[in-house]
Amino acid sequence: MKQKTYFQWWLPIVFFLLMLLDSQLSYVVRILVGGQVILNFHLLLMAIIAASFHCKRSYLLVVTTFIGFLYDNYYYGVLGIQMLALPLIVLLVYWIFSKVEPSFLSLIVSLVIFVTIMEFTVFIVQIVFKLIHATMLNFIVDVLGPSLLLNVIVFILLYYPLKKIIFSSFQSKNVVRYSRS
Amino acid sequence: MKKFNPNKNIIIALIVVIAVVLLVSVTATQRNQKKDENVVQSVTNDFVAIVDKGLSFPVKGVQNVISSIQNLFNTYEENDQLKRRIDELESLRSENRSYKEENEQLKEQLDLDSTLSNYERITASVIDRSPDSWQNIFIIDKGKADGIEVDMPVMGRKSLVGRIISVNDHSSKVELLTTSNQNVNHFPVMITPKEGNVAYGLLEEYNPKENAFVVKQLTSTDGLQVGDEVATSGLGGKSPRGLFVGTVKSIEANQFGLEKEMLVTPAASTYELTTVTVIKKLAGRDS
Repeated sequence: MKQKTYFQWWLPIVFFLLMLLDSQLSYVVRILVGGQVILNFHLLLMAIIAASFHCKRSYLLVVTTFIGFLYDNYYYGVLGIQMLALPLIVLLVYWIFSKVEPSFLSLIVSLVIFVTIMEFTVFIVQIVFKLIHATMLNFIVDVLGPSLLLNVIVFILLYYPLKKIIFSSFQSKNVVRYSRS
Repeated sequence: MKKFNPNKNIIIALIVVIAVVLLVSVTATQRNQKKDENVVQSVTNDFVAIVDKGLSFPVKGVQNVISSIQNLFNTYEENDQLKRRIDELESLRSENRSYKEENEQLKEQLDLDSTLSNYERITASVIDRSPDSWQNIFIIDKGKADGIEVDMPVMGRKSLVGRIISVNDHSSKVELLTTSNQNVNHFPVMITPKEGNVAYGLLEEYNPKENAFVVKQLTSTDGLQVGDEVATSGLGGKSPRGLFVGTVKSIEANQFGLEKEMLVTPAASTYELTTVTVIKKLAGRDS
């Protein structure tokens, strides 16, 4: 119990730094590939997945809403884009991992789903409110495809440290989770 | 009790949807009307910008190493070309100096303190770019404290790249001309042909397929040719005269056949910007 309160203090700071790192890395990679395709890193998403095995759902919802607020405010100046996408992803992460046992393959497949849903939510919210003017085809070819590929590769590279975080308390938590549903 | 659950979920979902709609529309209109951001927003933005600036140093370092390696490969060719250019430059510089002196004398005679082409430069470095392909927003490290205001034009290394859309005390957001935001301001431009009269138009949008800006509402197309230079005209109050935009790529009738449209190739690509110059117009600003 003591460990948990300690964990809750630095988790928002890690999320915040990962949010900034995501866009910094995406920007650098974008310059290196010549600006034609957009490769978005989703380290924050991976951190959310890992954290979901350790935290309460309500706590993570509050934290991600706050991170979403900072994100929208800083990058867009329009609130409600990532503020919607991030908590939605959290709900989905908890729902999926209450049905599926995490393993290397299931984590990759679910990552693909999460990245897709996250990019789509951001895209659709902006289309609906006419903040941008873009076509679905361009979105899939230029953004979604390359980003999915990149994040799967990053996930495979980071699998070892992620595995340690995810499975460290999974065995004990496992029992509680499955008995609940 | 079991019947209550789905209803509760629907109500929560509805409340969330309504909240999101309200938030997005209120903040989007606030951004479009160029009102100042409220205190909470600007303080958090400045705080995030400071942390982000710290984080961007190591990332930029890595990027610099990689790009310097890339540069090394074409150094030889580039050097050859540059040597040739330097000879031209010398003569241009002396010519320029004499023009400047002449210009100043003429201005004194006319008692002109500031003309449409006078401006002040504020140099800023790019902290971050929004990880989004459509809005095309940059965050720079200068703000209200350095004299930056909403709607000022922003120059890249060679040419016009965008405009300021929101300002905090020590950071501000730049929206690129290549944005697909539908609520943007349009830059008034002029096209100077080699012979004949100057034509005026409005830079309305960016065509990603052609990689070109679209200029509409042209005053005339007589004598305009492919390769003519396009620059801002200074009409309309926000931008000064003579900021380079690009060169004419093609001129064609629009889809209704009534009006001519012009495609303009940007002078430089906008995806690799590390420092930008914000332009403060001196004459004709409505405060």
